Amino acid sequence: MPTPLIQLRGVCKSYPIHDRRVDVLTGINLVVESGTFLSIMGPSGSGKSTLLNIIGTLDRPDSGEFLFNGKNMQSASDTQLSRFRSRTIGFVFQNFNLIPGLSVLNNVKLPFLYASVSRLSAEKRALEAIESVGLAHRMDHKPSELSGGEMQRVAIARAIAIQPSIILADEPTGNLDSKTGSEILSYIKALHDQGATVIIITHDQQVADYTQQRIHLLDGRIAERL
Amino acid sequence: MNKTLSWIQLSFNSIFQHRLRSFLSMLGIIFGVMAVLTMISISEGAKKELLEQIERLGTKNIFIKAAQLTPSQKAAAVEKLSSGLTMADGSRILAGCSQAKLIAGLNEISAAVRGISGNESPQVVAVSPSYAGLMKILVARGRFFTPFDQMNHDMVCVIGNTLATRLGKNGNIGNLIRIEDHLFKIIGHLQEVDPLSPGKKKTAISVRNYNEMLMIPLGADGSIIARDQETQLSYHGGITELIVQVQDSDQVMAAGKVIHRIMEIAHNHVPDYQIVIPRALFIQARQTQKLFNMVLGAIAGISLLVGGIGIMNIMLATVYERTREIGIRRAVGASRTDIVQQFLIESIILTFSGGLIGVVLGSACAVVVSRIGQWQTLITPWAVLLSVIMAVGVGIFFGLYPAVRASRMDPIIALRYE
Repeated sequence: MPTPLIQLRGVCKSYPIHDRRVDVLTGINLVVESGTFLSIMGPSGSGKSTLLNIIGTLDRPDSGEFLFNGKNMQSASDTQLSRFRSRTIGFVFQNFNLIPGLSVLNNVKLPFLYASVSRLSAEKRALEAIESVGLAHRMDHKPSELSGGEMQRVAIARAIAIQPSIILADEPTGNLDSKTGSEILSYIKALHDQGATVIIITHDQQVADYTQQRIHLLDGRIAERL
Repeated sequence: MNKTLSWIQLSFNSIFQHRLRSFLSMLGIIFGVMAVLTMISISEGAKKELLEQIERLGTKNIFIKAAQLTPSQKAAAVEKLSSGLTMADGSRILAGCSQAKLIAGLNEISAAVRGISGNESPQVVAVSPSYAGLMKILVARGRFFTPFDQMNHDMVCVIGNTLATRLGKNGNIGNLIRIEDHLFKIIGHLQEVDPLSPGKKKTAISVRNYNEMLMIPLGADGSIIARDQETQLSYHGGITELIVQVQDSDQVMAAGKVIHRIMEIAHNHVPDYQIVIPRALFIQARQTQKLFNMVLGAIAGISLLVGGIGIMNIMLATVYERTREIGIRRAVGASRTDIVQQFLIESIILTFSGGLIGVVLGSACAVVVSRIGQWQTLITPWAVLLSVIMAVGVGIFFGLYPAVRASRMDPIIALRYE
């Protein structure tokens, strides 16, 4: 049996809020095989984003284990984790998170800056990614000149340009109208069809229905698996 | 390399996006560097001027100048049997001071030279044959005096280069020139020397302009001075200046003390002379310089501190403003070190550019000062380098805290920042 891409064992996380610690995740066990399309649902405050951030190595669990490709990420240094992110993880956020001062092209090229990829191949891969989301004509525009849907497509291009092993999307359609939302979703589905592992946080039952694997979080625990 | 280049480009973008803000924050550095460079160039210029003068006077030389006495002092001098500065003092020094190697006497004479166009009469001095060697005066044509000229009180003269030009044909070697009622034969022309810019600061001894000078052998001056009965009585071979050269410039201070003692005894404590050691002037000037440098350093330090605080302020604002960007960069793979480097490069570019502008303005300022203030200024490469390095240093020092602060941000919080 091949090693699963992601393994979480008894992951706990709490945050200090004022002088109290609030438990956000309380013992999460999760296995995600490579090529899976996983959706995470749950009410706000149930720990969805925290879970996604831990998988994305932006956050570390207080206790429990997080294994990526069988490798424990707990002991990795900040630099190692950053390197790991730049090569294996593509983020898509609800609020797009593009850098306002940079053009579409430079936003998409941003991850290559930290992934030690040669300038030429970075340029080529960034262009391909932009073309694949149909924004070649917007290459030199600033994010502020784009519509919400276009911005999210740029964000997707940025996420896929590095050809990551896994794409993490935190409510990617949350800030978009339903029409553009489904358009964005179709891009994400297409990525999965091409073999990418995708984890998506969503409130949309329709989106969730589409995914192969679903988990429902409630008060920091997985309440339901499908 | 790839990364650094991209960051420099990004930093320039960010600086240009906030042109006015960046410029204003640079002002402190600009003025700091400008002030530092201007002051260093003034100080260097003064140093160079002084060094040139001292070099011209000779670092191995000690000057003993005849001092003017008040009538009452004169009376006391007669009582104490002091007859003013004479070549006899030179002989005493040669005998008594082991370091003394050569001496030369000089007597300034107020005498009119006839047959020269223009109204400025050249300065006439009577000098020993050794004077040329001691003062490193070179002869362009003809020859300088020999001891025989002095012994025989030969009526010969050597003239400066400009004077020779002014005299025209009459100034040719072999021609006669009239000084008061006596004819002197021209035997040599001096090589042209660079007349030092007449500095406003007078040192205790000024450098003579040999180009405009007429020299006769010491001894021959008696005939000019003693042209009337009254002065003839008081003429006793006095000189206005005695130059003593020592073997080595290191011995000059010690020799100065010995000479002081010899003169004190010979002149019976009559202060009718003054001992000037160019090297001592130099040492004294260096002391002044040290003080000046300290003041300069303090001013530089304060202005750069103020400039640095300005940079830190703007960098903190930039970091705060770009919190979201920092979060995004962290998410796509920037490590803490990457973030530190990015912001550090930005602050260094700010101060470096400020430093360069400051160097340009400072150089311009130095030129203006030398034009208007008639001060010699000197912009040395090390001063420019030092200014720029200081500016960059300020960028690193004051940029580090904002940069580290940026890198310590929690990426998750930064990403949600509105």
